[in-house]
Parts: sequence; C-alpha cells; structure tokens
Amino acid sequence: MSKIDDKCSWFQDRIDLYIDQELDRADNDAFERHVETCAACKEELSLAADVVSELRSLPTQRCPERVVDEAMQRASGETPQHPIRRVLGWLGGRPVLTMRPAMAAMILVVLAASVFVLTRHEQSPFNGNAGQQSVAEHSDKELELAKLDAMLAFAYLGRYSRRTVEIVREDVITNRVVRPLGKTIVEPMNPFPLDE
Amino acid sequence: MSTPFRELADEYRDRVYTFVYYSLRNREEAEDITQEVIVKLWRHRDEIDPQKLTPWVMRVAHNAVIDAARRQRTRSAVIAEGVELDVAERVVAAGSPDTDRSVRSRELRDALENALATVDEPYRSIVVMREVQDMTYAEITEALEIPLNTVKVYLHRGRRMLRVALRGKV
Repeated sequence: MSKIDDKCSWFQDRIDLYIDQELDRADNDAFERHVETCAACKEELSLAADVVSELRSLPTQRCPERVVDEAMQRASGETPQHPIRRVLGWLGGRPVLTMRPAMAAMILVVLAASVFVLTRHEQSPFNGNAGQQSVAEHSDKELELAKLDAMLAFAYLGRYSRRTVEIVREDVITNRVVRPLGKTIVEPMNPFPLDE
Repeated sequence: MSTPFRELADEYRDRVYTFVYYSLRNREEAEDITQEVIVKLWRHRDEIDPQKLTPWVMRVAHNAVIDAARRQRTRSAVIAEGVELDVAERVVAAGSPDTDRSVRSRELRDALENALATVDEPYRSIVVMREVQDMTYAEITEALEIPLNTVKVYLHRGRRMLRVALRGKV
C-alpha cells in the first residue's frame, strides 16, 4: 500500500469522528488540511455528511391510532384479577366474559327466583286464600317495579351477551385464530417459490 | 383504563412505530410490534423506573425487532435482493449527475431507507436510535445494554455500512 493510501485510510477511519466533532484539535486540523487536497477523501466526507444529514431528517412515521386502541383494549382486559379471567386463562389471558355481564346474569337469576317463588306462593292450591293475602302484601307499584327490574336485567343480559359474542368473534377468533393462521399460511408462501 | 396510561401510550406509539418501520421496512410488522410493546408497557407499568422509561420501551421494541427479523430471515434475504435492484433502477432513472439537488436528496432518502434495512444488527438499531430518533448515548447504552464506547464504535460502523451500501448509487 502506498504512503498516500495509508494516509487516506487513516483519515477515512476518522470521518465519523470528525462529523461528530470528537477529534482533538491537532487531528481535526490535520483532517481538514488533508481533505482540502484529497479529492477521494473530500468525496467520502461529502457522502458521510449527506448520509448523516439525511438520517437526521428522516420523518417520524405516524402510527395509526387504532393500533393504540387495540392495545388498550387488550390491556384493559388484563386489568381485573377476577376469577372468570383466571378460569379462562387458557384462552391466552383474554377475558371472554367481563364482570358486568356476569353480574347482570346473577341479578337476573336472583330476580327470576324471586318471581318464581312469589308466583308459586300466590297460585298454590294448598294456600287457600293465602294467594289473596300475598297479592295484598305486594302493591301494584311494587309488582311494577319488580317487573321493571326484571326487564332491566334482561336488557343488560342481552346487551352484554351481544358484547361477549363480539369479543369472542373479534378478539378471540379473528385476532387469536384467523390472523395467526393467515400469517402462518402467507409467510412461507413468499420465499419458497423463489428459492425453489 | 386510566387516561394517563393512554397519554403514555400515545407518547410512545410514533417513536416505537418509527423505530420498527425503519428497522424492518414493514408497516404491518411495525403495527403488530407497537401494539405488543404498549401491552407490555401496561403489564409492567408499576415495575419500570420512570427515569428509564424510554430505554425500557426501546429495549422491548428492539428485542421484538430482532425476533421478527429472525422469523423472517429467509424472506428478508429475498427482499434485500429486491431492494438492491430497486435502488439501482431508481438511480438510473434519476438521470445525469447534474440532477437538481432536491431530486438527489429525495433519491438519497429513498436509497438510504432501503439501505438501512440491509445493515446488520445491532448497528442498524443504533443508527436509527441515535440519528433518526435523537436518543442520547446514555439511553442507547441502557436500551441495548452495551457499553458507551461500544455504542459509539457501532454507530460509526453502521454509518460506514450505509456509505458502502450507497456508494456509487447516489
């Protein structure tokens, strides 16, 4: 290798240090003197400066908001440590049921049991006129309120049943089954035909 | 879920997405990894030292990028070939060396983005973290768990790899 090549190699090894202003004064001055007289090193320095300048001006990429929405949805499902989630842990930690539909179902069961017992009590042939007494014990307003409560419980149950079905369909089936399966099928399809 | 966490997730989403995008040049992968990082941030939110949040997030993102790159190694090799052809075609199409500076700059940017994807790890991640995302050396050291001097050496090596990939093409 010629003396000039050695010199260029020494300087080219220091191009990034020069750009980052990490050379000491003596080396910095020597570097600048050399670059003034060496076309190859000048060109290399120009390319290096362009690369750094372009890297620093590469735009920030905008992440679609839905990515965070989906992450939040997944994360929020992991928050409560309620038993249903633990029991359904085999589904990958995703809650299929949430606490609210479970509570709605519980309320419904209690209301249904109350209405059933009340109705049996009122209509029992063994109670004689006890049925009349029982009706008298519960005013029309109370019965109306009980009916409204039952309807409300049904409405909650319907609403959360629909939500549960949506979660099962979107979160479990789409995200946990269809997408991974799709990736498993599509990914190997790209390289192999070209390799063969 | 608390609003402060949503704000935190919003604060980091573009940073993670940008890092993954420039590392893998794949938007779908960038979305998946960004989502995964946010979920992990949620799971470990109480354990992370607030002073070291950025390095923590970037370490998780970096590990995910490494895994994704490993999974797709064969495909990446094929894509990299395509990238080389792509760059060469565009440079030929760019015409004479007297081309307008803004066009040259655009060419350089395109070529640079493609060349980045061909740089090996961890050089690429260090280049992206330092030059594109303006992370401090201390943050990179923390994120990648390598010494400060190594970060500096790898940064210069990564830049040099980029120059080699770009030489004669822009």
